[in-house]
Amino acid sequence: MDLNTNVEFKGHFFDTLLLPKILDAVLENGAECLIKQIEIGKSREEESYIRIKMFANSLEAYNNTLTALIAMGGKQVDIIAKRIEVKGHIIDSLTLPKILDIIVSAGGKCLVEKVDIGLEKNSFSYAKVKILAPNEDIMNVILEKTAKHGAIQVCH
Amino acid sequence: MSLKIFMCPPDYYYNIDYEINPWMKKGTACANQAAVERWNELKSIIHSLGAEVLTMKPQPGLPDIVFTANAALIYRDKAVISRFRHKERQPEEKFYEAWLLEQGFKTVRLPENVNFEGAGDALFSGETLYSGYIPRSDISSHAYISEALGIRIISLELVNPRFYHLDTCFCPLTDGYVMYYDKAFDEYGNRVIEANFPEEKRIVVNEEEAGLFSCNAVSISKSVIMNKTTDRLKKVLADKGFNTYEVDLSEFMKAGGSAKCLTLKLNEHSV
Repeated sequence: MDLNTNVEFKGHFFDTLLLPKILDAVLENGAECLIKQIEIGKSREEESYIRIKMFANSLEAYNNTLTALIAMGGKQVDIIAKRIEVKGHIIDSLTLPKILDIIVSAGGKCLVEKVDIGLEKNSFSYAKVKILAPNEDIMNVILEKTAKHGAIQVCH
Repeated sequence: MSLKIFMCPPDYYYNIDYEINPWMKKGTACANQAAVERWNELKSIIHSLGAEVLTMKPQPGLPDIVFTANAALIYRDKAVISRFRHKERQPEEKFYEAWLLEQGFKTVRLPENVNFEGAGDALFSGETLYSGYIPRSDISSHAYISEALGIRIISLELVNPRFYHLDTCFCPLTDGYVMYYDKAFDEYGNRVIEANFPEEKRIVVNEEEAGLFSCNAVSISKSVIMNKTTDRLKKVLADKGFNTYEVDLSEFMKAGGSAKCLTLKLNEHSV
């Protein structure tokens, strides 16, 4: 499975049974997929969201599947992941929640992978955060904004 | 031991020749004689309150060197020397450092790419340092300072360009009180302040008082020295047991500074 991409859908696809149609379209075109993210609308009016990662082992299957998914309302998204570290008195100063809010407000998602809370009054706390962004522009905005609050990008 | 305060006379404080904060308007004339007189009045009040004032020789071409709060952050025998963000003030660093070395301080220098503007952005309440960041100081300086001095630092983002240093909008007072302008901080900053100072210890200034730089005050025991302020604030302070001393520091406000900016406490943690 050398070729893969992320495709997202927004809408009322549970009510319209679009989700099984999406999964059928992937298989019928010779590809496979994983459901990476699913958020269900909390009210009748609110849209649901789903993101799948599609895998194909030939360019033909990849292109056919992607074309079918886009025809069903899907949007190809390149999920970019980066990691940042932040240290200091980040709990007392609310720096960590501020950074997490910045990521989400800018259109990204985040996963706090590690938090070490300083046990002494003067000791630092530390957090490592994985950032997911749908494209490079949003990721750059997130990195620029969080850097002003002490976040440093790390490679691991 | 008496409180020691560092000041620098405004001998070369004349016109506003550059703009590095929203208060400065290039070409504005400053009345040097009035500035000297008001500076001496401030010094006399500080002296009358039992503090010793130490002064440094001013430097021609460096009008802002009069704002000694930005020289360094002092903690016990250490002085973290400022690294100014703007090139106009960077030449002041070596004069401040030399003077503080002469006074016997061990100086700490931050990395060259880390901006930090001394006690203008770093104020103690007890053993906790509250430090402002974004306009002039980088939050990355806080980790260096915390490690160098072994202290807890609470970081506060400054969100209003008019209040570009923490000491323009936040003033810890004796007995755990704090006087501050809430609109200079975002929701996080206000929550942090509220979490660290109980309601009865918080004195919130209004927009007019903030614009008069009332938070840029020198706190000596239960006395507070500031620019001309409102009767309301003087009454609030009096009700909390503080005496207010006013000095007309409007000449210095043309450069974005007032009483606190003109002073640096040298032994706050030793008296």
